[in-house]
Amino acid sequence: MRHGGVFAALLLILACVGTSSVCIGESSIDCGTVLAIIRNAVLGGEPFWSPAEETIVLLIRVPRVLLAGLVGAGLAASGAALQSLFRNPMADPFILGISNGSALGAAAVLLSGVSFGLGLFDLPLAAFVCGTLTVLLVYELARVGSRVSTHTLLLSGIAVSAFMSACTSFLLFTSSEDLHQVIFWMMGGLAGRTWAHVYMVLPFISAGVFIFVAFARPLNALMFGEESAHYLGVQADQLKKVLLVVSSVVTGAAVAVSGIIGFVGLIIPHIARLLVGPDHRVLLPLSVCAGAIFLIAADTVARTVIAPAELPIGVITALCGAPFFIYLLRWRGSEA
Amino acid sequence: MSVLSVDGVTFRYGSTAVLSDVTFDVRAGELVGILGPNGCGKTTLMRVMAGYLRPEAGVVSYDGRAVNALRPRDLARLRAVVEQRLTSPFEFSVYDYVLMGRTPYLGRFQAETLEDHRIAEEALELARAVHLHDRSIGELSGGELQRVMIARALAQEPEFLLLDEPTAHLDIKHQLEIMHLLKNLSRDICVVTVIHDVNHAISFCDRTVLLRDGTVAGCGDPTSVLSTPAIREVFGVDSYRLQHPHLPQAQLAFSIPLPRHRERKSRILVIGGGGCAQAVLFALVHAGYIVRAGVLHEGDRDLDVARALGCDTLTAPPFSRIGSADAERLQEWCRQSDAIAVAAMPVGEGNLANLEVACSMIGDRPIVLFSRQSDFRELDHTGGRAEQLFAALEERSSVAATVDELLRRLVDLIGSGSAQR
Repeated sequence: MRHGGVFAALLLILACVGTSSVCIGESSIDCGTVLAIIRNAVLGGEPFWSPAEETIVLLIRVPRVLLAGLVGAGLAASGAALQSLFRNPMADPFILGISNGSALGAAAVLLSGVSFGLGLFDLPLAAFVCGTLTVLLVYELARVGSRVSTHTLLLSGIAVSAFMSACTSFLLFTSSEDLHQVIFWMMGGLAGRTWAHVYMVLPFISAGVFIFVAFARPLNALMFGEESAHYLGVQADQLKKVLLVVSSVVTGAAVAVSGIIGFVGLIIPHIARLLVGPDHRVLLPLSVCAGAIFLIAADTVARTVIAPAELPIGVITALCGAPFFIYLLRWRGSEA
Repeated sequence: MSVLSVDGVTFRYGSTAVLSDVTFDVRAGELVGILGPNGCGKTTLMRVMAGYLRPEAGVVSYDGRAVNALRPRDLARLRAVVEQRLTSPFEFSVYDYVLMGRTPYLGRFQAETLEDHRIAEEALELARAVHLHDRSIGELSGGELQRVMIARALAQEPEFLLLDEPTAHLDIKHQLEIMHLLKNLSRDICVVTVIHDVNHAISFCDRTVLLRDGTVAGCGDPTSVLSTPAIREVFGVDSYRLQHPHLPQAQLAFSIPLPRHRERKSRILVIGGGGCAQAVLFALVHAGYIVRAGVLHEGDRDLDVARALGCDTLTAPPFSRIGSADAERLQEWCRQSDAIAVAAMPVGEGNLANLEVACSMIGDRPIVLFSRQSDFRELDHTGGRAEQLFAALEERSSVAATVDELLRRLVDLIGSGSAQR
């Protein structure tokens, strides 16, 4: 397989970054202990560590690292698929307004104090439902008969996004509540997330990524336009719908548990493309790895840099990602 | 045998009919060109034929199987389409792009086999694009890109190849190379191409379909479909046939039609020869006069022009001396005309009779001598007789040095002769 080396390297980096991230924190735990705790949790064995360390590793850091990896992978894969679907390098997972829709849902729940009786999951549920409804609205607005042009989809996405954003602003402005929580959610973060969150998004994101990869070849064809894809025997209309649904669900799930984390879905696919080219059969798995690595690393920075407080992870993704991306662009540019 | 048939196809965008009742078919081993003015529905027809657009009425079928009844994958193994342009926001290597042509043969998680790679390499070879193998499609020139697009289509191993203006944006050499390529391909598969260049259609296509406002204005042998009247009717331009010494088919030269101010009833007889009367014939016909010409030798350019313009002509065998019978016919035609236009031409024994008849009409009919010179010695190959006759004409009739002047003189002599009178 081509680019096997890049893959192996990324998987290795993923493993290293993941493990280091578990080690690093307010109370740092050495790598051997961490690996032993994890092995012990799976296989059983004699503990030589303190119960506190075990709790920190298994109940706080591991789920958080896994969640960061899942969210990063999901956002990056959705971004890669949507960029090709829209044939627009500026596309990201939030292009259909899912972010602003989810934010409105989250703000509504947080500010109104409404509860669905799900405790911790009220917020993710509201965000997911509102995000999905927004995408449906965008899709319906762009639909003419049975066809949806990607162009109108893009524009109606922008319009609906703006509308949702205005609604959220209105809620925030008129609310007397403490806005810190809402704003922190909107900037994205993984603080306090648990195994429950991991289990919640795992099926959506893993199934989504699998479906993306399954459609890698048709996606390649779609990069040259729907007409061109049709001539290669790809049912572009059907493919488009599948991709829209899957990317909405994946993104919705990610946003529900982590808030709005910008930049990953936009930049990671580009970085992957710079590394291995646009073939989705390689690009998608690679984006998944790179997205996971990037978000795990960013989350580690977010929770350590001003410890014990946390930075919103969206700040880190843009702060670190943008210069790196620019460096890659320049580096590739000077090569050509 | 492979047959692509288009039967009664009607298509509309919204309420605007783009194609109405289009019917024709294409057989294996044929290169068929679809021609027509901008906006006549060529590209739409191509998309309907390719199964991308669904016609409102009518059927497109490949080997008797209706295109809409075929699964997209099966259709993609049967026909390939080369679009006008290739656009992608992301870079692809030429080889990967061509390999994409194997898409309809591959399962979801199936990797390309050695056979697929062999076919892709072969397609590059067939399209003469092997040297582009490792380039990126974004950096190719127009001609190279066209070859690469054709290569991808060939990698689909199609029985039918449809192309939308493959020579647009290419320089002449690349245009000819692409047309030769299509011609070669058409030995094995059906090739249908939308094409703008009428001469390419005449030189390369086995048959042409001429579209006009979404209907078939002609279908068949290019030379007969692309006749002067048909081209005038469909494209609104005048065409003129020119024989290239090497090419088997005549090529066409085009011009914007001169304004026809009015139909005139006046009849003008043109006497010329040696190619000297071409401009006169052209101008008079387009000014609306009823024009006859004589006596012209076969093989004379003036005769070709007169025939192309649809004039009645009196003819004589090549290089023969114009006999008395022909001279009498000419005289008769002169008398039936309202005016005579004589082009100063080289005169030898063979065509001296023309000049004699012209001179005999002095005083009988208004005559205009079309001459850019006043020294007729160079034109005289009869030992002085022709020079004398020219001198007599110059003295006793109107002389015009330009075509415009000739038209003015005629109006002076016989009035405007418009039909309204």
